[in-house]
Amino acid sequence: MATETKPFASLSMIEFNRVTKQYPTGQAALSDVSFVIEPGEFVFFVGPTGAGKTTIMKLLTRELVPTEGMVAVLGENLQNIKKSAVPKLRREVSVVFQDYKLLPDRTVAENISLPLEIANKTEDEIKSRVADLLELVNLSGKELYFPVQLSGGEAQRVSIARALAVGPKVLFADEPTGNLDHESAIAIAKLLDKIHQLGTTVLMATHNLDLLKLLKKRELHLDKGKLVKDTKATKEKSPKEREEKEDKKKENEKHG
Amino acid sequence: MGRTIREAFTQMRRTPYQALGAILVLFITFFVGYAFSLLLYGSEHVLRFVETRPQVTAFFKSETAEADIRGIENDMLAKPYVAKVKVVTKNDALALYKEENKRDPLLLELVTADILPASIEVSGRDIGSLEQIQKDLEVYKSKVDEIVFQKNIIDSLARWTMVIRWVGIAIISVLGVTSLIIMMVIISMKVAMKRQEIGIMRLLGATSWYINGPFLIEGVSYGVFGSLLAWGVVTVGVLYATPWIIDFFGEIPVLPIPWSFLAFQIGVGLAVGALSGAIASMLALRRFIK
Repeated sequence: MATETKPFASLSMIEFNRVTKQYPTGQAALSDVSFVIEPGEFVFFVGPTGAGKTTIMKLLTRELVPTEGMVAVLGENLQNIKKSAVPKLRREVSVVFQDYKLLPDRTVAENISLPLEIANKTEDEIKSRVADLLELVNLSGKELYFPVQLSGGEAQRVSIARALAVGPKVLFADEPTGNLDHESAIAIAKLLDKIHQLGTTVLMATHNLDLLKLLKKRELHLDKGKLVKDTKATKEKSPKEREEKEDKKKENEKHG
Repeated sequence: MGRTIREAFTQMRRTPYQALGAILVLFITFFVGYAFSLLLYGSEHVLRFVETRPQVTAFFKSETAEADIRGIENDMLAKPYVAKVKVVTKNDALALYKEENKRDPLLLELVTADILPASIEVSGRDIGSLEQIQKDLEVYKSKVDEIVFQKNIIDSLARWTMVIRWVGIAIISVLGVTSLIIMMVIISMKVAMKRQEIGIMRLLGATSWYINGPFLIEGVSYGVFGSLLAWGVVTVGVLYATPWIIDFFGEIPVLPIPWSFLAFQIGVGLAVGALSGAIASMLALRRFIK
């Protein structure tokens, strides 16, 4: 089926325009999916296993190319980018995996510094950035630990720190809480929210409904490769607006 | 580049037996290669030496006058294909005889210059002129007793040189292909072991050079170390065997081997080593990394 695609992508952070992805086996992972994500949004991809969440992640990092339609990041149609430009794209769209994908023979600090080494940063830059990231993910003091010495939640935080190392524009967390207990999952969700507040566009694939209720963000519901629901893109509150809201809440509580 | 080299050496250090195996296989190949190149150098030298020696020698009858011999010498010198002419008079022949048999006084007692023939040694400019020189000397049938023609010796030497060359090429080719395959297998194993890590690096935005570079440098290092080691062993071996070689070749000056030849040898060896290492790594990477 031929679909119409826009000749030029817009300047949204991410745009999926009538995207279909069919695997060589004939199985359709995505069917005619369209959505736009603006810079600074936090979006949940919700759906059961096989809904197409990971396929979206793979299309965004150009591990896959769509069978039909167009995928664009920052206005650039990913089908048109050269193979040599893919590493740069992957530094702009970082991924956090359910199974952390940490290198077992490297320490926490070495795992976090890997993308910085890849980006050819100096040793001083790497040192200072790793220290900042460890502080952000609350793992200061554990830089010399090996992944095997960490809990699931800690390992996932290392994975998030690594994904943030080169300052990506988009962070895609693919079921980051899938292997974690409830408390750790909440902690990871809050950490991702914090990262979002700092200005990164965050996409999170999950089927944990508690997290949706906790963060109350835009949700894209997928089922069998189809986009079945897109909750409206709620206007994000700025940190100042949040503070004002908190103050008002406290004021109300004070006055009974 | 610094990181790539560091990473390559770390990989080698972490798998010392694989590294040693690769270097030793290349060492054997290059050892044979260097040894054959020296053998070829030596045989070419011997051939050139024999080619430029008196190739046709005519022994005069004892009654031939010295004036006639000098006339023949002048005739031969006038020919464009003659490089050198040397007359050995009866007295010269006696002196040579005495020198060769100085340890056996009994043999010297009975010999006088009269019973030794004078001779003329004629060197050609190239091996093709020898037959013509022989024909020229045969013209003086009445004065010449016997003509000794060294073409057969030269032909035989040339044939041996050719055999050495082709046998060398064949052996080195077989060893070269074997080394390449072994090196490819070793690097493939390393790539396979790091497959998961490579996948993660890719997702983190690593370029092809970042991933492939250390493997390429590793392969190149195996080639360079193997080649260098083999050159060192062969050169030290030649230096150690120098007295024996000199004794064996006698007046043929195969030694000392000029430094320019040794430099050329190590230059080509290192280039071939580096290239074969790089090729083996690239083939391994192409096979394992899509």
